[in-house]
Amino acid sequence: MRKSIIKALEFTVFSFIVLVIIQTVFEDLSLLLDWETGARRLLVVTGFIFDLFFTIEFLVRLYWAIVEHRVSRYFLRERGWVDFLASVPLLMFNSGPALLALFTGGSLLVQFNNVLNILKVLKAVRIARILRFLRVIKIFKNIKYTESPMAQRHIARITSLTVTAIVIILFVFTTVSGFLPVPGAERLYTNAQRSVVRLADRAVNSSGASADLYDVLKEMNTGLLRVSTKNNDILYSRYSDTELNKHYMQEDIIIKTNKQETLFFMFDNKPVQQDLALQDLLILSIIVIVMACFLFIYSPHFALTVTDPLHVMKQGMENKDYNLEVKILKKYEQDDVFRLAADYNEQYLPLKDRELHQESTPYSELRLEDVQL
Amino acid sequence: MADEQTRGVQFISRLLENPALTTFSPLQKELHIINFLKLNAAQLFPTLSSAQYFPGKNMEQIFSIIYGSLKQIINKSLFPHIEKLLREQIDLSFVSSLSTNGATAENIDAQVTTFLQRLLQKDIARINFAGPLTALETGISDRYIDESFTRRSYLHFELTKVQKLSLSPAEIKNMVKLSLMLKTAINLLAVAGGDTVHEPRGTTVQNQFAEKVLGVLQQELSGVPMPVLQSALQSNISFLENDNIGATARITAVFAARCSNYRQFAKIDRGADTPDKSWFNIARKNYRFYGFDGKMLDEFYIIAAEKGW
Repeated sequence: MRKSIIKALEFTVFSFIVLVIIQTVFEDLSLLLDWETGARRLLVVTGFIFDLFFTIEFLVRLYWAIVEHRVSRYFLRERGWVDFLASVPLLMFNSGPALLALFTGGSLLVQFNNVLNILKVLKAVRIARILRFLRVIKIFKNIKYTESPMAQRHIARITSLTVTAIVIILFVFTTVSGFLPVPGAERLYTNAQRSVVRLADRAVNSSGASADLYDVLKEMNTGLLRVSTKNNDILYSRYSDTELNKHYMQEDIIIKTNKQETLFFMFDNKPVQQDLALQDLLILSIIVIVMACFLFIYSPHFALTVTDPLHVMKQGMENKDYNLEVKILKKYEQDDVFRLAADYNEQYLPLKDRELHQESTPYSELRLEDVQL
Repeated sequence: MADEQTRGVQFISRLLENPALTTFSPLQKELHIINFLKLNAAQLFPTLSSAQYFPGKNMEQIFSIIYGSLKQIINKSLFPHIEKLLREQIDLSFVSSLSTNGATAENIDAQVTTFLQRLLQKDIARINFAGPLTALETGISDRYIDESFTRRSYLHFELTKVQKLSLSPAEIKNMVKLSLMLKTAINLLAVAGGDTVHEPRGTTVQNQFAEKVLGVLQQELSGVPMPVLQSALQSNISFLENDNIGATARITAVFAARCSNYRQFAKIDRGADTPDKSWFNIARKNYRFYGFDGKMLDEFYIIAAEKGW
């Protein structure tokens, strides 16, 4: 009963890990393919549910590790650090704030003059979301791809090292790049938006803004969506309210004001978001492909050249009537394992065969523990 | 008494159904069960001497009942199986090319069947018959003889030029199979029943002993041609002690030994070589020890490697 419950729970966790990776891909695709906000909101909610689930899973595991006095073992050897990094920070800095923004954002127009300053949150979200890729290690942990614990451990070790290295490099780069004086595409885009704000502000103050001015600003391709006054009087809007609500979420919009804070400019932030989504998909693809290579190319190679010959030799040494030789691959015959296997084939097995022949102890395949009397 | 036998049969039937024995032939199963009982006698005694099984009996008595039941069960399927093998696997028409005693295939069939039924009452014969029986069941000798005739190298030369058999390949295969069937005749002079101690596999005998058995065997199996009887009995002599042993006898010796622990349909572990190739390679290293023909083993090894057997 207890075993079947544990199995069911493990299966649930495994399913959630697979689903959360699919959800991550969909989240990025939703931006790249410009899905409507309804679907994207759903992805925000599911993202939150997944993060909450993994946080609870981590807390439960941590609780049992504390109860059983094996916290350091859990964190270091059982990869509790992956459980932690792929859950708590994401809930706090990624899906949590996203869900909060979703529920507190409400109608864009109502919130227009009273928006959250989500820039800082967005930055944290961007950095935190990199940690999502660590979940791939979690899925790897759950796949039983070989019967040998040694092969499993080696492949798991090399995979988690690779994925962790990629994630750490990305994490450090994303954090550090924010402080570097490099005019990236995002900064150029933001500068252009500032120019638009200054230009429009000057025009409004000198002669009053005309429809022509906004058409010119629109042509500048800075993603200007709407200009309004402090009192919510709309001076310019590229889309109707319905269209805006249908295609833009809180995080897709950047609000800028003039110095006097009399004018509010709403800019489309999707190009920046899409750029990030593309990067995310690229990273995820790299990680998944690297993992697949380890799983489907390196793992069989490891089994073929290390664990399989060892397994055959172990069988031969443990079982009296096991006399199969190790298949020595010409290509790798100089490997230590195959040199040992050659000795096993040429020396050990013939010797064992002779000893068995001379031995007077009876031998049976039947074991007492296998026989029910 | 009948009740005890029923319990013995029930006990043995349960052991025979054990998954660990599924890949073994009936006689191999028998040997494994006997050895199992010997090895675990002390642990089994409290259960076997309980009211559920054989109360008031000592281990020797219990063992005797169980072994009787085991033999009874195995014999039920063994003898019809031997008859079937003789009838379906061995074409005895080749005997006319080897002798002029006028014995028909039917006569030989009947003689061999009766002889084996009697011979296999001896425990040592039962143990030694497991290998040849499995070799006959699997048809392993046919495969290798066919290949050697295609290759026309050492074995072919030994059969046709040294032993000078003027038989077709199919007839040689049948001769080897009959030789396998009668290999255990070397135990003809052993005491019936006897002890069931674990005997070393393929123990060789001296020339003189084989000659002595041949004299008796000729009387018992008058229909079987002399070359076949010689082949069967000489397969128990070391080739190192007598290099005049015929090729068919050497083939018989090799395949009987090969099949003594042969497991049909056994799973081959990943990373392991094929069963035949492994066995022949080990046998090549130990050929002096077992008295096999080393060159013949080399040829069989090459065939097994090339064919993936």
